[in-house]
Amino acid sequence: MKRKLLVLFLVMSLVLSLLAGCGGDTSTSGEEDTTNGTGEDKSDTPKEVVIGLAGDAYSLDPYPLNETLTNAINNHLYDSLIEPDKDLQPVPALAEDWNVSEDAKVWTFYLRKGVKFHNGNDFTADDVIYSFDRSKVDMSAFKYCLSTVESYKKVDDYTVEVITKDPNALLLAHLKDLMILDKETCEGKDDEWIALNPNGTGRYKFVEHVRGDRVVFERNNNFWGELPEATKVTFKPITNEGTRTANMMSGAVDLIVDVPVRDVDMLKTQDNITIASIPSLRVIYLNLAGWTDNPSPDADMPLEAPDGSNPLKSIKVREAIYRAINEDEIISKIMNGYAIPATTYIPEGFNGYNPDVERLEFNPDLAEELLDEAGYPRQSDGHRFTITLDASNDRYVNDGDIATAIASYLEKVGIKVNLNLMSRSIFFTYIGSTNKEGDNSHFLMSGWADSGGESALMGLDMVYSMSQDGYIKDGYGGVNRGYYQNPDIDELIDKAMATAETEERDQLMQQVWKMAADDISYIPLHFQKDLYAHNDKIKYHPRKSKYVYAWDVEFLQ
Amino acid sequence: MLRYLVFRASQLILVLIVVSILVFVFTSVMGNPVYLMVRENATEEEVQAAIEYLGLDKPLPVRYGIFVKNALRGDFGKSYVYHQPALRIISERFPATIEIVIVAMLLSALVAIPLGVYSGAYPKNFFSKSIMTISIAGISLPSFWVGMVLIFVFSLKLGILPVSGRGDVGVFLGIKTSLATVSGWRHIILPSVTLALGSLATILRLTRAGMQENMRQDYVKFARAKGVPRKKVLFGHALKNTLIPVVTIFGLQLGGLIAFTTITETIFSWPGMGKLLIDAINSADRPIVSAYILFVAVMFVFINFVVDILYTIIDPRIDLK
Repeated sequence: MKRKLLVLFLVMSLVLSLLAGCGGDTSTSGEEDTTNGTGEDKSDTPKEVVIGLAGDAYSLDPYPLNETLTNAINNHLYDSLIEPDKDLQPVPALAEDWNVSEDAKVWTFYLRKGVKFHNGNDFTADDVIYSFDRSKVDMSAFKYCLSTVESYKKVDDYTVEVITKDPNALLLAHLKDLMILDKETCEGKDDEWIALNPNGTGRYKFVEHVRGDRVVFERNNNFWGELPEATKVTFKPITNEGTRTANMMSGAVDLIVDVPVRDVDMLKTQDNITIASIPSLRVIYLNLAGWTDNPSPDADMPLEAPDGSNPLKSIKVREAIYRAINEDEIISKIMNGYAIPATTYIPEGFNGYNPDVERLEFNPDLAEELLDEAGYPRQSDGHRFTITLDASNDRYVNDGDIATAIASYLEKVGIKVNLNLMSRSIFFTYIGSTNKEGDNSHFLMSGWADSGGESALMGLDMVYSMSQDGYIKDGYGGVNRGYYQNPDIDELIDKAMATAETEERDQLMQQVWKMAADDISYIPLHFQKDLYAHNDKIKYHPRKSKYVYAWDVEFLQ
Repeated sequence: MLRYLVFRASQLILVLIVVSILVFVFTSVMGNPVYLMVRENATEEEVQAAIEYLGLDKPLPVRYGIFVKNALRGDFGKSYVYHQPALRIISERFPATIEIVIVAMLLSALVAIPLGVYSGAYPKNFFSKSIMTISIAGISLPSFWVGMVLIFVFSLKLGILPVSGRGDVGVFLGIKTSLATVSGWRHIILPSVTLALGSLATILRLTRAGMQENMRQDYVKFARAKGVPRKKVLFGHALKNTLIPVVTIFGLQLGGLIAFTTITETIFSWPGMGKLLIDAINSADRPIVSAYILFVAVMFVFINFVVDILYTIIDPRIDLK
């Protein structure tokens, strides 16, 4: 008995020592350690803000992952050459000024002088070159930024020259994604080390990151630009929606993002809580494979029409589908009013927005007529043809419900819809237009948001001609999942890409969106509204891009 | 004893081989990580580069071979999203989970066993009957609901406990733990209670059933006739004979709680392993998922080993050979 107890004791102590071993490295801390980091015991100093986010920053190295939340947190630590203003237009950051040659191919950037990294190192052209290089390595998720660039070089310590392959007026929209690391700090270190030892020039300095619990930054008082008000900011990843709301109500956080639609009314009844909402760039839309005779050959549930044709090829059928959907009802019933109807992919206020494009009116009777005219009368079973709607059910606000509603609207006009809902971890592979595993989708609901703030780039991704066999022009039309083809549009987009003059580009893109809408190349549904809640200590000015920045927090006292 | 240890070790290896193959096959069909890594409108080349970077261009058996080779050296691969070694990410989260599980298990053992003994010894008593009714609720209420109700009552209505998060971490015996600070304890109460409810009710009912059976045995009657004090009869004689199944279940519950605190941790934003697992599944982060499941398999084998040794302590007649 005693021997057994001894064995047990030895085993347990072995385990405990293992625990101690891994317990030692639980947080990746900056110069000072924790014990003052949590949310609820900090009300005496007025300029601290605790923000409840829907997830954690995956890595404090800005390069391996390109995702809104991680990018926004990293923007606190690092600057880019250019940063977007409130309207997503590029303004100077680490580059004080720039100019572009006549042919829109040679860009010269003049760097800001006297900027220091958090550890005191000077910022120079070498850091820019190092960061550009790093965006091109295997692990980088930002390879696209310089894919249109022929070469770049350091001219002197404070001048960098970038030469593009084709005339590219939109280089800035891509360069703003590249955050600048310190060459001296990072060179020779591995990626893991860089992620744990962030050193940027940004408004905030790293204090600590306890994965899954909090990210803490303090203000960088040597910042080159206007200092933000908040001296300390804590981001808390609170993935559960109900818990996020509860944290807001209990006062443990000052600001939460992604307020669940069903909790909005309850939060509004609280005296000290304000809801802030802003129409986001996120457009929800339907794509239809109307430019092919052989839609989705690999789908489990293929498109079936009585005569074997592809009904989506007919613009009358596309119009009928558009008119059969009661978008107003979707917004009021499913989105609780927190969405605005979309006329095109482009939200109002974005460059290239065309106010002349209007939504086709909801009219199920007209839809039935159009379907009859198009040659798809109701069969003996009451259905005209059968299509499959692919949609995600955990990616966009209430996406599963919206897709279900659309299926039932279409059933009413005689289109049989197989609803194919799936999780986002398989959805985007499934619908991908360049998916090698098969062409599965002929009718799908998806969402898109381009925080680049540039209509021409949206056009390049969404409506530039693309064929079922792959790219027509490499890298163009990557999200054109209906294989819409229109050479006139391609020409206009090419022209816009080479036009440095903003006004002129705006005009070109307005034409593009009008033409794409006239062809009913896709069916826009709505723009989601982003919802935030904050207490009366602060006022939060949300951004359309959904990037949450501590400097958008205004303190009221 | 030595022979037994060797036997257990070989058993562990067998379990690991089987589990690793299963995990590998399942995670490889579990959503495609490539499309979560590249931007939404990635070009063909970007996708291809990502596939090669992740090593997904090789056939499954080759990938398994590489995985095993690296795993033997303690390298379970790099997380696709965190870009850190999978094992490091998991072990970083381990202490937080162990904390709530230990508190939860202590809570359920300390509450369930005395209550079980009592209600088993006096089954007709009104108090015993109410305990049994309440314990049904403990088994049947889902933890996400209990968690939200606890948050609502204790954090929002009464305002005495924090809603979520882990609180401050202090150092105790060289281990960084939130059990060493007041703020840590305040944060740990609600998640541990939520976690404890299910196992508490199970252990309580098991103890009660065993006690009821044992109380009818001759040796209990004899002990009482001999004049052994009531307390000694209950805890010394009857309880000791009830413990074997209780310890077995306790061990399984412990393993289950450590491995799958997912729901509770998500509700309370507790930065433990369960939350890591669910995040990893959502982002198709295969290295984390496979390392995690292997880790859990090892843990279960280990817990069962401890339980086996406990048997022999509780009942010396049991021989591990």
